[in-house]
Amino acid sequence: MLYFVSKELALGYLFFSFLSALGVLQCVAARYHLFGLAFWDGRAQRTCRQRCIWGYGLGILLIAGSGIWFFVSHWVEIFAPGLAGAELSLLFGVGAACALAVTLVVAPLLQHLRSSIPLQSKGSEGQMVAVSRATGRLCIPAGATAPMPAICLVPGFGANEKVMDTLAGHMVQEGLIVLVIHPDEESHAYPEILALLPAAMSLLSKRPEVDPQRLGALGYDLGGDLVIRAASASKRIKAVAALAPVLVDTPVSLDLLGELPYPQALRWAGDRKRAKLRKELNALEYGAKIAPRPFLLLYGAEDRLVARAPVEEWLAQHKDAVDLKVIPSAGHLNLVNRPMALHTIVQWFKEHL
Amino acid sequence: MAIDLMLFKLGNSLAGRSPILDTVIRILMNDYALTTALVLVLFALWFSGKSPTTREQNQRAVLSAITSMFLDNLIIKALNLVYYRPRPFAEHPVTLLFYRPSDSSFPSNATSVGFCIATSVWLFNRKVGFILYVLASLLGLARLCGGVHYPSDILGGMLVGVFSAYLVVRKIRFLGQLWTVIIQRLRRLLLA
Repeated sequence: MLYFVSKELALGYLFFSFLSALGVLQCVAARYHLFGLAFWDGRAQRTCRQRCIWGYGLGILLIAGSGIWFFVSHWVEIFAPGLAGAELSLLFGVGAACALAVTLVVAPLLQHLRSSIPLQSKGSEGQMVAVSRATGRLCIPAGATAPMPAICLVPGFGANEKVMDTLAGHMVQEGLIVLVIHPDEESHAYPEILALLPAAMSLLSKRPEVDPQRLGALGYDLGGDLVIRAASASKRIKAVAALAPVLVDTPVSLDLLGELPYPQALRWAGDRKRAKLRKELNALEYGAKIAPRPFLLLYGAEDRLVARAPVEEWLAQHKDAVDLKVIPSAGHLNLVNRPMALHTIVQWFKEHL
Repeated sequence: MAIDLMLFKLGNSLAGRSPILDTVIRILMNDYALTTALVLVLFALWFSGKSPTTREQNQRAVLSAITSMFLDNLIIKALNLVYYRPRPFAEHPVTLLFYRPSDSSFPSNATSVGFCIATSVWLFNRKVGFILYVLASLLGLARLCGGVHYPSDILGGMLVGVFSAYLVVRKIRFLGQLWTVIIQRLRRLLLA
C-alpha cells in the first residue's frame, strides 16, 4: 500500500515534478522545434538560435526554479524518512502527465492569442470571378497594356487558403496576372474538382490582358496535388509549380506538432475527407506526365506535414522532369511567407513563361 | 569483507570534512534529486529524436526502463526477504549525512534503480545512456560517502539493475512487440 508520510512533502514533490516536467517539455520543444509544445512563438524567429534561446531559457528556468524551491522549502523533511520509491514514481507520473496536458492546452491558447493580432493583408484587391463551381479573384497589375503571362493559384483546401494572398500580391507587384481560386466545400468533391483548373485556364485565355501561350498554374498543399494532376492532362498550362504538395499519406506522429498546435494537429491527422481527396488525385502517379514542360517542386526543409522519403524516392527517378527547390528553415505552413520562397517562385515563373 | 569495510571507511572519510562537501553529498544522495533527474531525462527522451526512427528507439528505451524498474524492484524485494544486511551505521562508527534507513543495506535500492534506467537507455541510445550512468554512479558514490551503504551494496545494486534491464531489453522478446503496439496507439494521439 502507498504511504505518503507527509502530505505537505508529497504535494511539494508533485508540484516540483509538474514544473520540472513542464520545463523539460519547453527544452524539448526548443531542441526539436515542436511548435505545438512551445509556449514561446517559435515560428516568428528567423534563426534556429533565436528560436531555441527562449525555449531553453524558459525550460531551464522552470527546472532550476522548481528544484531550488522544492529543496529550500523542504530541506528538513528531505533528510527524514519520507516518500519511498513507489510513492515517488506515482507522484512523478501524475506531475509529468499534468505537465503534458497543460502544455497541450496552454500552447495552442497562447498561439491563438498571438495569431489574433491582425496581419498585413493584400487580399482585398482584384476582381471576383466565377471559376467552374468555385470563385476566384483576378488581380491584374496596374497599367498592364500588352498581353502578359498569367498564373492560376490554387490554395490548400482548408484554413490555409489566405496564405495565397501574400503570394498573389507579390506576383502582381512583379508584373504577373494572377487568378486566386477560392474553392468552396462543393468544389472539393472528386472528380468535379478536376474541372477547376481547365475552367480557370479557359477564363484566363479569354482575357485581353492575358497572353494565352503563357499560362501557368501554382498549387499549395493539396492544391499542389491538384495542379499536378490537372497539368498532366491540360497542355494549356505551360509551367507548373507545386508548393509542398502532399503526394503521399501524411505520417501521423508527434512530428505534426512541429507545424501545428495540438488540437489542429489532431484534426489534421483525422481529416479523412482530405486523405480521400489526396488518394483520388494521386498526383505522384501523374507528375511524370508534365514533362517536357517546366515543373517546380518547392518544399520547406523543415516540412513535417509531408512524408519526404517516398517523395524523394520518386524524385530520384524523375530528376530531369522536376526542378526541386528546398527553402531552408521553412516548414509546411509558413513556406509561402518566406521571402526566399516568394522570390524563388516569382523568378521561376518569369524565367519559364 | 575487509576490503569492503576499508573502502567504506575511505568513502565515508569524505563526510564531515567540509560543510560545502557535506551539502553536495546530501543533495546527491537524497531520494529526490538524482532520482528525479533520472526520470526527467527519461521524460525528455520520449519526445527526443531528429528522425521518427531515432525517436521510436528512444521511446522503446523509455518503455524498457519503466518495465525494468518494476522487475528490479521485484528482485530487490525477493532478495530482502531471504537476506538482511544491517546498515553500516548499525555496526560501525560512521559519519552519517542522512537519516537512518531501517531496510536491508544490500543491495542498494537507489543505485539499482539508477543503473537499471541507465542500462535500459544505453542499450538503445549510447550517448544518453552514458549520461544516465554518470548520474547513477554519482548517486551510488554519494550514498557510500554519506554512510548508508557499503561498497558491496552499491556493487550489488549495480548488478541487479544491469541484470534487470538486460533481461527486459534483450531476453523478453514479446515486450518489443508490445512496445510497437503502444507506440503506434500513442502516435494516433500524436503523443509518440
